[in-house]
Amino acid sequence: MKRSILIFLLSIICFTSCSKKKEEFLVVGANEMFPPFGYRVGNTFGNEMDGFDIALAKEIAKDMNKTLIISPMKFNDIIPALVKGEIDIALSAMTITDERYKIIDFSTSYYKASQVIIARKGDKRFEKMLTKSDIDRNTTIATERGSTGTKIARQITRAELVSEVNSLDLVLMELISENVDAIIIDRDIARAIANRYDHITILPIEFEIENYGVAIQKGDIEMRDSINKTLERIINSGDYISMVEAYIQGYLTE
Amino acid sequence: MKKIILLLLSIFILSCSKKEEFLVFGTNDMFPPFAHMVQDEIIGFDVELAKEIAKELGVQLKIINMSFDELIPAVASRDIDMAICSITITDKRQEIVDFSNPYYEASQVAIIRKEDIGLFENIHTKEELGESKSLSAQVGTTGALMANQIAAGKPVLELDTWGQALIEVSSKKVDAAIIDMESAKAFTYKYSNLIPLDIEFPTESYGVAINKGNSKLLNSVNSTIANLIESGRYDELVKSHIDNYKE
Repeated sequence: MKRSILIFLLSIICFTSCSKKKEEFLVVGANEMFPPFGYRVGNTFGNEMDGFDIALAKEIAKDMNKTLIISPMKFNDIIPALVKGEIDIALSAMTITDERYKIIDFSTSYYKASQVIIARKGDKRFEKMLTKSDIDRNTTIATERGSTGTKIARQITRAELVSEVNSLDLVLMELISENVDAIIIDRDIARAIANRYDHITILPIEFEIENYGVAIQKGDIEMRDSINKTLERIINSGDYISMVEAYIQGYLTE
Repeated sequence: MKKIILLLLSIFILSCSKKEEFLVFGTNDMFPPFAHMVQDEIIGFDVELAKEIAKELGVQLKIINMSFDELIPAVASRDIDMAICSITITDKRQEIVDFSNPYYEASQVAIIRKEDIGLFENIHTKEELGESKSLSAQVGTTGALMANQIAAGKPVLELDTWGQALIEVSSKKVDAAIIDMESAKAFTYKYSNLIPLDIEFPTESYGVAINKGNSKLLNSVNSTIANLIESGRYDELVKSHIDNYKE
């Protein structure tokens, strides 16, 4: 069976890694359920991942001249794993917050996420709405389950009018099939969607920007400096823009 | 790092001494009512069937969630023991995997915009549909196979998910999407802008995909299916998971 061959290979990795210095590996925790930043692909134990965060992790490992090991995790398990030292760093679309800074450190921001509201073009209820307080408290809104969009939706309309669905394509279906008045999703994905489907429109209402950072063990300054250099390199070379286009703007509309 | 090495080693040791005690089963969580995500758990008719098979074998079940078009290759390469995900038994798939006896009869359905119903008045067969209308489907599915077959050489818009295929219909990029009937029943009631078109597609049979030549597993799966039907448990599962499907 192929699985036993894999297990054999894994055991070789175990033994060679025991004899090698641990510095030769970079173990990265990644959110396995957050496309387009991180998601599972392939079938080797189901542990192979892709996404914007994974592409970035590869660049970081390359600059450190280390072998990358991706550890797919649930979002809530990531910070504890980092604190315990089970992973070296984490890329998981994690917003930099003061609260998190108490127990871990972050790189500079690698993505400025901000949520936008999309409605159907010509829906008069949304005309002249310029701030979030203009939104009618009877507006029905669909969002992706567990996303920042859900949190915002529950603030701007009544919580019982917010419907969460399992994936981004189904969020968009809710709007197009007129099940809801509006949806709240990430700005970059929204722009690409609005370009492709001309009967929907992004409202000019702005929400707070969230800065995603690479999560690092508290006090690991060497790691932080190296990651910040990688970020600077890919932003200056234009690789960063290509990654945003490929992974984030291309998501759902490629 | 040490913990991870320990973990890998323990996987190694565990799997060497007990590898026969796990049944690794692949599915995709976007195929209601056969496999779909509720909270953080995959449930549905196909998951129940997998549990029954594991029970019969006396082994533990390990579920792996992967994209639909990767399921058959994963069975063929023996990365997983079997795949159950409303997979239609086809000659092409049978070249690289074995199938159990059929466990469900189904068919495809064309989904169109409700407002367009008048434009489909003169379309009575799938061939007429394919000749005169543009189509979308989910990549790797029998719906995509069917769409290409009837499209008479015209391009079919193949997308990663059935949700995207429906978005293309809803936003008027294409005229119809070709989707599994049971999945369609499970979701189209939600979207009042869409309706199924009343034309017939051939009957298809769903089977459990198994590593080629694994006759022990194949026999066990076939006997599980037979036992479920005989005991009445099969009808119970159809009723609770398919007939009474709710999101």
